[in-house]
Amino acid sequence: MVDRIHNSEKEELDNSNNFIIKTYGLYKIYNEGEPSMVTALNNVSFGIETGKMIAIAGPSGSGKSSLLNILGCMDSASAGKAILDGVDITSLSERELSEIRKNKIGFIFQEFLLIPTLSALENVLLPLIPDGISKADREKAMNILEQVGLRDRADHKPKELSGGEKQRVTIARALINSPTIIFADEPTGNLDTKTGDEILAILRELNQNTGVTVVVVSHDPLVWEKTDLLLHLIDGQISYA
Amino acid sequence: MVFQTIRFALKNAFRKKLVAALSITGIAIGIALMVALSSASAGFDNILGETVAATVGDVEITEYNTMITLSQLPTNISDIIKTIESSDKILAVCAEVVVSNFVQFADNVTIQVGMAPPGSGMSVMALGARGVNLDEDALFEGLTTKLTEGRIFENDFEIIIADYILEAGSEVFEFGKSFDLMINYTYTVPIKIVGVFDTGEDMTRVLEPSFIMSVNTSLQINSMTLPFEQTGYNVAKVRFDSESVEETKSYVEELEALEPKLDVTSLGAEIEGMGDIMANFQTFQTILTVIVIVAGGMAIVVAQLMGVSERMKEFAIMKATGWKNSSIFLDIILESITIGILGALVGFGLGAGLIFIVQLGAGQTFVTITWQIVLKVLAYGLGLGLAGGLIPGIRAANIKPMEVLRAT
Ligand SMILES: Nc1ncnc2c1ncn2[C@@H]1O[C@H](COP(=O)(O)OP(=O)(O)OP(=O)(O)O)[C@@H](O)[C@H]1O
Ligand SMILES: [Mg+2]
Repeated sequence: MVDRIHNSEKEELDNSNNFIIKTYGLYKIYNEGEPSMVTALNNVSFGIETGKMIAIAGPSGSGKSSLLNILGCMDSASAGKAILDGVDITSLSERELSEIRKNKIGFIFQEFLLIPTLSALENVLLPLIPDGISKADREKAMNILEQVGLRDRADHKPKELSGGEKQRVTIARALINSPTIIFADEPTGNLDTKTGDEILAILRELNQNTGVTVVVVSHDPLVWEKTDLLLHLIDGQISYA
Repeated sequence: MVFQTIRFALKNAFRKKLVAALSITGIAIGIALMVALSSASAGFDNILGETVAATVGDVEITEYNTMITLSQLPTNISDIIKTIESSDKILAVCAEVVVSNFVQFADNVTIQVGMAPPGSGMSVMALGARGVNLDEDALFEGLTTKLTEGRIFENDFEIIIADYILEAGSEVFEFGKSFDLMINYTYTVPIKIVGVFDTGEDMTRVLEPSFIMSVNTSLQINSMTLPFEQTGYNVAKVRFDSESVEETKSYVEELEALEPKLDVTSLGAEIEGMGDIMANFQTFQTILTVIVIVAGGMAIVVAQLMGVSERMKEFAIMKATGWKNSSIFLDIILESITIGILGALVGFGLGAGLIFIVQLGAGQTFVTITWQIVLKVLAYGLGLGLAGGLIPGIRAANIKPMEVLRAT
């Protein structure tokens, strides 16, 4: 439960291969040069060790989602570097970023975003559609659904699922490509406490059983306790309390 | 590989059932019109082509600058014709006498004999009469070779009549009947109907002469009604062994160089000339095609843009899970193509049905659905889908997932 990396420990960071994520002086500035300019990330440098589960906390507007989106290859940084699994993602094209999203990253959002026309199983397979779906993929998807406790809901359409079940489908979808890291942005925000706990338990279990790194944004102190590391963001900066 | 994307697109194409149905209907109406028009013009082209092919080597000769009824070709016209340089290309010659005024609509006889009862469907104009040489007509496999009843004329004033006259139910012109036919209110001709010939099934059958008789009989009748005594033929038909209208034209020139001077008409060239009428039709078709494309394309664009706006979050999630811009674009294009092709197929069905019904009414096949038309329809469906899906596809592909997901 201690911050592993300080700016001053940059040397160690550079030389370590144990870190799935390393950032150096990361900035995210919205509407740069305009009156409405916002510095959402302000010189953020830190690292996340492979296989850990970490929580990011902080007040609303402190830059949590901004950070997650950059690390999740969904948005670009304004300045600085971010190394994901040895690759500097701040220098990649949109096409290369989409490859990384597909192969290395699982994303879970606060909203349970599913395609209404597809069954739970098909929603899990959604990331694979452009490349084609094999029988093995289908089996894998069924296994993942089993892992999240939804095997008997495989053929249900999203409208036939509860909120917690939907979120479990999105977790399964995030897992279909065997990602090396999962980003979850307030995954329990739309769920009641009990269901939220179940979702977090699933993520924790995955982290422990498969070694996938999990980065979860949460306001919930109970969540923080279950993670290996808590990262506090305040005004776009990491605060070392 | 792309199979899964196609399946996905198919599922999504009908998310908004009403919108999809409306855009399919819009496209279908346009395509139906196009199919009907294309088929009609293809059918017309076909008939034209067949007729040109059937008549490509046929020419008709009359006296220079003279109406056919007054035209007088020498009695030895067949021999004169065979003196041209390309005479070896002549397959057959048949000189004929056109019998004027044999039966006329205004003639008291016609009315009395019930020749043209109202609604009989028989065109009075077509009730022509001809005098032919049997051996020459046989070379053309003419009507005298197509007897279905009775025998050929052997004596003067014996005639054979067209089957359609019997079918029309004339009380006067019956097989086996002998009677005095009044011509031009004045002359009485004692005719005997000894045979009936077959004119086929086409609508154009009524253009065949109704009465055929010997040259001798026809000359006698004409000499009664014309202000002069007719001795020669009115018209000579020549059939050349010709591959093309162009080739026939060269024989026409040879014939035109003969003495006496002749009017020579190539039937194939005449019919081909009718093709010019088609040009206007084609312009109309082109305009319609443009309208169909623009309207159909717009229908898809509007429907898809609506869909894309509603599904922004889905595209965001797809991108977030690694879909490339191009994959999302492909999905939208496939959805649009589905709508486009379905509209085209429904339109094709409608158009073909329309044609079928019209043909049933007309009892005649004058339109043709060619595989080119089917291909064309599919191509239009595809083209409409591509064109209509372009803008929505680009919009969907270029969304920024974060912006969309943050907007809630
Ligand atoms: N697209 C944008 N344009 C302008 N400003 C933005 C944009 N996205 C985020 N911001 C601003 O950047 C800051 C950080 O936003 P961010 O969404 O990262 O915060 P957060 O920590 O995730 O907050 P919350 O807990 O409410 O989700 C906020 O002040 C926000 O208003
Ligand atoms: Mg946030």
